[in-house]
Amino acid sequence: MLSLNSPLSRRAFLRVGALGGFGLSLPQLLQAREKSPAAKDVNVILLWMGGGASNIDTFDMKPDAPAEVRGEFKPIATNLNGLRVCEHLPLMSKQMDKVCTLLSVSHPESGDHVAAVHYMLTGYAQRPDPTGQPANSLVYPCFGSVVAKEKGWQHAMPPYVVLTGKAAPYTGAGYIGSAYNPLTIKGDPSDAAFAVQDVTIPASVGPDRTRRRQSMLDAVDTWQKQDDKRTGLLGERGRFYQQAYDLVTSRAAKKAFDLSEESDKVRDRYGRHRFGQSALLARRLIEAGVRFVSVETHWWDTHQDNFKDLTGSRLPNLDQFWSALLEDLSARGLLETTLVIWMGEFGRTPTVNGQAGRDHWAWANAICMSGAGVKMGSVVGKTDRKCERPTGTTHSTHDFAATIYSILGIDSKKEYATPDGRPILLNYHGTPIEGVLR
Amino acid sequence: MTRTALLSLVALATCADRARAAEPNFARDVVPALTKLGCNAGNCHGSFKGRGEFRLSLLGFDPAADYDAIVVESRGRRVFTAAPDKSLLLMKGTGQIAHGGQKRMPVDSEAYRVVRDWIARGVRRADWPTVTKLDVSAADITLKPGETRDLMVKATWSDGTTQDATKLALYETNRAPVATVAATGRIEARGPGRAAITVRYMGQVAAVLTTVPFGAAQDFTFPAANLIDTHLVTEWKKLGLLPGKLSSDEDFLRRVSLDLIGTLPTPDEIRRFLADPDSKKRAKLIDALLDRAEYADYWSIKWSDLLRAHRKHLGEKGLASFNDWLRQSLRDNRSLDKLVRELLTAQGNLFTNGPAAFYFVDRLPDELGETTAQVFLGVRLQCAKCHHHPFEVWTQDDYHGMAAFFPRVKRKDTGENGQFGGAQSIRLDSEGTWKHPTTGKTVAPQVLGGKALKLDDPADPRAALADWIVAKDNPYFARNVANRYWGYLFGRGLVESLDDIRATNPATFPALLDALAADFAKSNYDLKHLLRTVCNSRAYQLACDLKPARDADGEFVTHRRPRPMPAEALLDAVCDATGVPEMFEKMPPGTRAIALPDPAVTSYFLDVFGRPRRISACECERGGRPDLTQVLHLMNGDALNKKITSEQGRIAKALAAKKTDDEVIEELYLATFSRKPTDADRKLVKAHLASAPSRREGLEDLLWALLNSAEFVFNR
Repeated sequence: MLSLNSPLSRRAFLRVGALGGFGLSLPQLLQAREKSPAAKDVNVILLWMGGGASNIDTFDMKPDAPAEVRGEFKPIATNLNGLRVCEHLPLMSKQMDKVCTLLSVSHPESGDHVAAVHYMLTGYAQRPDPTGQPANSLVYPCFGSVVAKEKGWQHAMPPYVVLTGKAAPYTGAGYIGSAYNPLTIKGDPSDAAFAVQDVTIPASVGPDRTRRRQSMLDAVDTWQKQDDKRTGLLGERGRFYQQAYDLVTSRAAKKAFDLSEESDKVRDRYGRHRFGQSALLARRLIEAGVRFVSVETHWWDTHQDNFKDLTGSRLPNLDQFWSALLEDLSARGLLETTLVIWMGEFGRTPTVNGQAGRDHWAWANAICMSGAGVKMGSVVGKTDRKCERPTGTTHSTHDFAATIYSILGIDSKKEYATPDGRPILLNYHGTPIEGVLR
Repeated sequence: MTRTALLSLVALATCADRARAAEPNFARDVVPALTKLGCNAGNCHGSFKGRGEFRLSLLGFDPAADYDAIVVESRGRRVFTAAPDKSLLLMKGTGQIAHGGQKRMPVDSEAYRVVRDWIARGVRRADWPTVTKLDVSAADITLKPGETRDLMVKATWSDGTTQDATKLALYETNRAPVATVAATGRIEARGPGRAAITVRYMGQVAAVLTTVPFGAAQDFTFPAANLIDTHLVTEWKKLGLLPGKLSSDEDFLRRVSLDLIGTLPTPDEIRRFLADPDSKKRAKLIDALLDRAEYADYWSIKWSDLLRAHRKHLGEKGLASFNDWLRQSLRDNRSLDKLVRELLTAQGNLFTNGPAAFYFVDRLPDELGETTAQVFLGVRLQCAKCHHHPFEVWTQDDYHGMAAFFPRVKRKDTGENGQFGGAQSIRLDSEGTWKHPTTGKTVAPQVLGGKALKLDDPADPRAALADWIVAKDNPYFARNVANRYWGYLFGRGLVESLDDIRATNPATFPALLDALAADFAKSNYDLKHLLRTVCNSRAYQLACDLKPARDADGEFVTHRRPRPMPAEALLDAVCDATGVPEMFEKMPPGTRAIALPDPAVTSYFLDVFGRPRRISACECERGGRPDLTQVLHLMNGDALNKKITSEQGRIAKALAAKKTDDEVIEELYLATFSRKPTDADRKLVKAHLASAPSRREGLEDLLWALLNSAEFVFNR
């Protein structure tokens, strides 16, 4: 294991760094670490900034750039020496010791949102059809689906849940199969009457009748009973049925979805709005056994009035629930095993346009990661003076995906199969990004 | 060529003649040696991007490029003729210096000797012969578990020479639990079943069908109804299998109704069929179903899936025009060759000529070539776009030859806007050629495995393509359709996947597929005849077995396995069973799910249950597997709950008609499981009804339970 804390390994690191110019050793070291037997049981909360939140107005500010580039916001100091973030993220500025800011990821899709989402959530390119659905015959799985496949159900909770503001147009399992699609929750958790479609028992039915129905089903479904070995599709359905019934009737699941169990103080701290309560729900779901929760937030596509829109509700809301989540996870000792990722499908143009907006810009991105062995309180990579491109090493979305898998302890060179039986590696071309992991 | 190589060539020139007889040839000896070691496999240097900046053609399909990669590229440091053992190629391959692919080639191996010898003799770029034929010592063998058989492989090269390729060929099994194969070509039988052993060598492929019987041939009587049964009896004897028993009338009625018209029989239809004493009633039922209006609805879904009919490509008017043409053609049972010809040679206005839709879904010649091969021939050409197909004989030339049929197709597509609703039409231009993307040369249209057409022929090349496809001796067309239809009716194809017909993926019962295809061709491609033949076979009418002792997944057709209903049929079945129809937006009331024109009609239910989105022509698009959201939606979805408890629903009506519990129970079983309840069923159900807070609630819960049962959602 590579640890920077002991003098010996620091020397080892320096040696590796010196050899780095020859392209030797460090990848091998990282690979060795990837294969290290230390069991990692990491869960994920993805804070998804659909539409593409501005990088230059948040975590990669350029105060010395010309006015049309630096924009209207000013940077403020953080609790990390030398690091500054946007003035409209005051609460987050006090949490930057828990954040690794990654500025070196770059991809080529600045045009289409859906295509860019595929790059960021799968690593791979994808061509969307006019309705925004993937059009290539091979569709790659999102991180959450891979986690679902690799880690599976836990305590009657499904592995992959999406709390949707309908911001990410693609969250699916692609070629690994619909069994690994997320459970998508469309309701608004800040709503007093919040219910989970197909999971919350309809009021007209209620728990008693659900139990009666289930015992009626046990009586009439003689097929499922005969199939005691649970083979084939019948067996597959039987297993899903059991999982679905456990989920629907599970007291733990019901509790997890019930935000009224949280104190007013906590609920207020996260923010009494859809996204604040979604972030809180995400924490409750992880505690209950879910492996990957995607929290979809505002639509960040600020082509016009970028600064007005960001200060209106977007940045204040974000600042509130994100800082609350990091504080909360940390206080509960969950940050060690929970990876929190803040990202969207791309960054935004360095130059402010004629409508005071910023357009799509995929060449430069800001991604923030916390917890789960991430080297928090650091910045990896750097962009040029106008935030146009990373300077120095640029990382592809494949590298980003390999980084995520390595944090999760998933072998990114694992062989899967496409529906037509072709062998395919989870991630062909990525190498975990140096410096993100502790 | 590098300087070193050149110098060594000069130095060797004097002894070249003497040694030529034994000199390794690059394409014939070196490339196969590297192929056998896996150097040019898809996960190594054969990957599209190569490995470690060293790229070889996939499995050695392009020796010229491989020669350049080894001898010329990387400043020639991969081969060192003056000191061959110091060549990077050998140092890496033997693991003497760090190699990502580990040690592959021991210094004392035959492969090392061949490669070293070729280097030492000056890395000659001799002519490349190609392999034209592969002879394998067996094509169809039967072995008992534990027995072995050594294959012998003879390659014939284009220069007329032959070669013992047994040690050089690549071998692979498709079912390791049945039979394995060693790198030497030795097949070992492991357990009962059938496996295909693939043999690959320098672009040529062959397969050896290996049967491992379940036991000694069984004695049984099986009244064969037609050619399907006759073939199966022979195969079952060979495999030592016993066919199961015939299905009950109830099960048969449900199965054949779902398979032919995507619709459950009504309680009255079931009662009538059960009461009918006619010994020919099954055959009569098949004929009657084929005449039903739902037949055209249901089968137009299948063909629209394959042809990917969607308003996003066709517009609403274009979709309607295509849909009308397809439905009318199916209703009139026009022969399939006519339909294929109309699609392929379509010209004119899409609004008045439905088949022109074919040219609005795919618009690029290469995509049209791929779709034509996949849909009509069951051949997946996609691999050959970039490299020689690794499991087939298809080359890039075959791929681009197919694309070359289409560049003269021109389309006018002004959408639906404007005063006259725009125009969408197809015409055949006199100009238009297809260029090979790597060579840049103009490619002449060429059917798979056939001769190239003349480039300057003004006739419509698409007509020649259609002629070839529907010709009675086309090796793919009838087999493809017969296999797909078999797959739709049995839940698995004789060739699996349904659209992956190739030499290295043989049918479970090759002779049966050949006979069924020949019968279909002989009927002039009569689709109803094909369906009638399959449905009238006793094999199709066997009972469903939930606990098969042998042939667990029904591969050998000794019994039926339950398969999930398609999404559209399931939604209609839910509506019929509850008595409450689904309302689809912008569709007339009463429209059934099997009659929807495309997946653009919103339906959460259909999406969840795997309705294809018509993005690719792959049969795998129809998600046939259960998943969590499906189960949750049926179990706990409010939409279904509302149908069950509706005042317009079946239960409300039965209560209003003052039916007894026994009558309602029977009706609900007929409407869902398509069978009468047994005495045991009645007893269990009544016990539950007695404990319900009200009679109505108890019956509603019964209907809910029936709809959530496996016996409902599966076709048996």
